[in-house]
Amino acid sequence: MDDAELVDRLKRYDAQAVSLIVERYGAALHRYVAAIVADSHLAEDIVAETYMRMLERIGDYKMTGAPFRAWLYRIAHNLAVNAVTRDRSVPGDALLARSEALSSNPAEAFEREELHETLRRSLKTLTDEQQQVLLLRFVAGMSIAEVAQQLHRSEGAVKQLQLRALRALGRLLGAAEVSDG
Amino acid sequence: MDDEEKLLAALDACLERIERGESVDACLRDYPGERSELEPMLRAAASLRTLPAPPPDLDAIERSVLARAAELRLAATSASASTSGLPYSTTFLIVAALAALALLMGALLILSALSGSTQRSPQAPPPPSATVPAIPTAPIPSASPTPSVTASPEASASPTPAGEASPTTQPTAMPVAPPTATFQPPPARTVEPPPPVRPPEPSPMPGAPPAAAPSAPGAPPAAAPPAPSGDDDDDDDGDDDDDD
Repeated sequence: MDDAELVDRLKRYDAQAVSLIVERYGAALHRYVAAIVADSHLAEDIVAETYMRMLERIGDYKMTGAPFRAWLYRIAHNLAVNAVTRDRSVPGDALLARSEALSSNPAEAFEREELHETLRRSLKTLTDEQQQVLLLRFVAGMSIAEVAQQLHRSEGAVKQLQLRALRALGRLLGAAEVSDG
Repeated sequence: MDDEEKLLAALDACLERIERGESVDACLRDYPGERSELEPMLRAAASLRTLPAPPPDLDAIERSVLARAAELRLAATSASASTSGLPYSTTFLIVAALAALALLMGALLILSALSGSTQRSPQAPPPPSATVPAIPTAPIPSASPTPSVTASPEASASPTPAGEASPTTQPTAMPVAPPTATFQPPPARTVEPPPPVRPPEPSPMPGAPPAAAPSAPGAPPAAAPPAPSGDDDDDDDGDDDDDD
């Protein structure tokens, strides 16, 4: 089912289309939101809320050539940013606990989670736009062209944003390694 | 191509190769000049790809979203049923057209009433002044000049009816009972009532004393038109008194 048909059926609140869109984008959206809010349970709530908002606004949605998921990610991003803004003390502990529970080697899990915690802290020091480019590119797995559509920027501008964001993040991670080491 | 552009091209190529499954080291080997800058960037990108996110409970999400979809579907169905096929805009247009029609009819009624009251018969010349409506009662010294549209005494002198329930249909009754309960005309002392032309019918009772109007000959009280307005004072004072 392509985007046009999917949107058409969603406008009729078709149950099959709803199931399909949750199945198609749910996991990726969750990864994206979890990277922002650093809380898997909260991310799940936000993903569910994203789909609710989608249904409530689908009547006004018009196909403009951009992929439908770009619209979904925009809703999810706004909800996630609002959640973080509302509660800046969102702990990453929940994510850590779930992650550790999934790992068979606690020491390895701890080391990995330490890196991820550093990564999340470093991400937060970037500009909003830089964070969004990195999350859309490397967490949501979008191409440069898709990110450009999502952010209403040219592909060249997105490449420049990506370069600066990765450069800043690389420096921050390197500095963190030195201080830890 | 400057260093920034070289770095941008190298980063682009390496990210693409890593996405296809190549290692970071293999890519760095092909860009020795940019390695020092490229390496931390590529490792940061690789770290981002490994950001953990336990698989979400998609079933729970799906259930809640499906429930919401069912609510919205139901609401949409009941909303469309309540409009019973007529589009909202059409309903609005019909109501607006009816309202406009009612306004137009009201305006026409008012206009016709006004034109009827001011209309004079060809035989009867207009009164010398618009404020001299009491021409037929001129013999009465203090004829109350009631410029009322529907129940004015002067209309009784006019052979042509004044449109609606004009007192002219009962010409003899007019001087008798011009009961105007609401309209108090201004003192019309300045009015000189020279009767230019007598109406075909003689004035009902030119010399009848006002107080005896109800019993005046030719003016049966029962035939008195239900004049709704006009000063029915017969006290000859000419001022606006209250008729309680």
